[in-house]
Amino acid sequence: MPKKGFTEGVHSDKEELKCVDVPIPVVHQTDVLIIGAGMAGMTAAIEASDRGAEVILVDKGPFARSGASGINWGHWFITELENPPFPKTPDGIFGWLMVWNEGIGNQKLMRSLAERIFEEKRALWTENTGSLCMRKAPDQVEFVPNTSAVYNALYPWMIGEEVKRRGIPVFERNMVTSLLSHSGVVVGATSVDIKTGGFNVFRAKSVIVATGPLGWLYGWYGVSALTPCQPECTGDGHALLYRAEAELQNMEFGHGEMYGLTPPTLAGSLGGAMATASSPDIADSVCNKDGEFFLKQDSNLSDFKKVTFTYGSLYKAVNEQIKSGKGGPNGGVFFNAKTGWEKNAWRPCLVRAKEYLGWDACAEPVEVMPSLYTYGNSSLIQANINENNETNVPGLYATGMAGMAFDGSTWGMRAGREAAKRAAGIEQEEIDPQQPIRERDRVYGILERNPRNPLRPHVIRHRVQKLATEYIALDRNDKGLRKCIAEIERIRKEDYPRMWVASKKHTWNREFLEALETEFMIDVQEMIARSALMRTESRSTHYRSDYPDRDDQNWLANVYIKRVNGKMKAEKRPVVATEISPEKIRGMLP
Amino acid sequence: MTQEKVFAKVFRYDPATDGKPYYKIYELPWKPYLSVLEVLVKIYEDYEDIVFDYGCRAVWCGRCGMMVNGKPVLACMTPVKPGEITIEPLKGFPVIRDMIVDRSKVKAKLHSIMPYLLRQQPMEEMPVVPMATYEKMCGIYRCTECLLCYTVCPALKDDMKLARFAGPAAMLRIGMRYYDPRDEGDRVAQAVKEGLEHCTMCGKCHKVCYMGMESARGLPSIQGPPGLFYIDHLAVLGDLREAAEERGLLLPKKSRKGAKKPKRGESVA
Repeated sequence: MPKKGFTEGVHSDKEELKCVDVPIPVVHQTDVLIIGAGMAGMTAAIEASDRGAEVILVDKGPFARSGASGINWGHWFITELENPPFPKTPDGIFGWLMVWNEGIGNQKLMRSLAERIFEEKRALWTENTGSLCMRKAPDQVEFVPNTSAVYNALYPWMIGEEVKRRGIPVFERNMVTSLLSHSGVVVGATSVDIKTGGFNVFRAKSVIVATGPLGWLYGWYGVSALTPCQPECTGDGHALLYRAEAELQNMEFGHGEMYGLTPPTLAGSLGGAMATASSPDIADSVCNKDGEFFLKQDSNLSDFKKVTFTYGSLYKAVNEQIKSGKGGPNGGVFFNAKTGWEKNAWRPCLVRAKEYLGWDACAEPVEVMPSLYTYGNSSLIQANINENNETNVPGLYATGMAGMAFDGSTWGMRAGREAAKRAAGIEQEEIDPQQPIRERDRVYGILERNPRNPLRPHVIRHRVQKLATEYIALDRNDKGLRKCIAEIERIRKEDYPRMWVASKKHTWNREFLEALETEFMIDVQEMIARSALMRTESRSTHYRSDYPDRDDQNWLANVYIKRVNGKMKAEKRPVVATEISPEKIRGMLP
Repeated sequence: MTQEKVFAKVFRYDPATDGKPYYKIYELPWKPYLSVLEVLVKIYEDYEDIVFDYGCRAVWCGRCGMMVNGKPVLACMTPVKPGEITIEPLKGFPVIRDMIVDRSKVKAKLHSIMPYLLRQQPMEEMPVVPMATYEKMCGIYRCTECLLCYTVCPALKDDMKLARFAGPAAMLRIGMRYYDPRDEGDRVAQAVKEGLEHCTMCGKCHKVCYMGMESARGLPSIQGPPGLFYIDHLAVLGDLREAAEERGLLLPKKSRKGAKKPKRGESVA
């Protein structure tokens, strides 16, 4: 039987609980420090080391096998492809991106990305790391296996091997707890080694935040949030950027395919039923509880090839069904594998679920909900960076999903080069020796806590996660979002000080890690809610039920989030329109 | 009707504080499609601080390998029946804490056999990889390093230092570059050096592998020509052995006289 009060925690009046060993910080010196070792982080590491920089990679999960990259789609725009599904010229890609993010992409960055995609010979680059492209002739790439999850673990694994081959030090299972700064310049970071409980201090001339998406913030369904991401994806990078007073943007845009809610062990995973907005059979497979294929009724939604098909219009249709009582018991709609998955690429996942777990997705329609893979509508950048991947804080670069959801590797390359260039030109700044010590005491102080009404970390984190399901996932509205923000503030003020870690051990202390992450998750959930509240329209993956239409007059703009004097500030600014004027954008959009 | 229950007998051990490992039984309500992973998460949240690792919940990542009722499995997709169940860490590896084992030696081996491309010639002039080779390689790419095969491989003789035999996953990687026409390394000689002769072709590695099933192959994708590939352990090991025997690096094994080389795609069971 469960120990009485264990879930809530146990308070002790005994003093002995307070003596927790505190490790001595181990200091590491490098030119470029990269936080997050996914596709973006690893590419950045290789590019930076190519330019002569000393590099250290820090990864919270098992190296090259975790986060979003561990299960990723490995999307690379390989423009040498014979029949690419994407446009063949920089202009084409630029225009395609513009329509995809419905006019609010940063044009300067999108142009830079579009050009770069053609500059980098990435098919060759990947093959240099040992990956495999299918070629018709040496100069003619026919096919690139572009995913790991559904196809194979090609890119992360091979790029990871290349990183190791170069002897780049990798600190795996290390959670970065803070960025160190000196007179406004970022000069390093601190991390906790999950394996040993040790405390690392990194001094670096430039720091790249290349962490993954925020999937783990999106509800709680038994063993996971509603996301195919791995448990590392708690938005640490977003919180680190925010705490270093770097500017973030477009936090309101989620990117969701419809993933199964049941059974709990498969919720959100690639083993469950799923429909993708980009798959041709979505209208044939998504139905309500009466078995009506409601997407077929809307001519805009029935064909994904139409440009009018957007995530927003999909959410709207789904939300209408749920509101009119045609949803399922868990708050989703249904996915009928019988009519859908015969044509669907996901079938292997479902075959496995049947084979191993004995769960048959085909037996009856499975309840699904839009899940969260990345944040930022895939083509919207979340750190406010310039075309050299620099944030507004000197010495701090961003890439990966924290910086750029779409094609992290291309951005990683540039970030690595630019960070190496900066490091070559400057001396290491001093760090205040007290700063890491203070951070260490804060971090390990979590183990010493002995609050009156204790709560274990997972209780608090589930409260944060469930806010997403309730207020952020589908039906966003003014009232709900305000409630959500109030609740986040309450959690921060009342629940967080009650957090109590049962195990005081240093090696592999899962709870300790969760406690550290929870603090970041509270910040990130607030960023999402505040941005969503500010955007009073529906666009792309952001759907507001009280403002169901796109408002091109007022909202060809982005919402920026920044920490000012310790407080979160959201600000609306017009889109960066260096090439196409807002008037022209209005005409372009479907 | 009384609710059906699960009695999970779970291995517990922290070398820092416990003299020796012990087992603890946790009683949980059962429900359909309950997985071992779910049981562990429940124990962690409601009963006791227990340590384990997981990632994708869909057998893609290979992080939750452990022994369930004595068999090596991935916890995320292993169903739990009402009644007793024994959950232990992966056999053969040193235990760090509870379900966490030290895989570093095998991981180091998997890197030291140089699975990357060994090539001196310019990449621009590389040969075109034929489709059949491509398929073989893509299968091997799917290895997730869950290391279930290392717990069952009899050639290792429980020697996780891997001095005698580098193990199935390492052999797969060598095999991948043996197939790869772009690779210039002598992978056959390497395989022999890494203990290929000790492999008995028993097929146990293939049977525990979640990527080794025909069903993992699935249908062709909507995005490109090839669909999923699966790992065919015996075909890879057999091809390496054949090449080694041809070059006289390995003597044909008498005990293997009866064993026929399975064709690609043939079920081993």
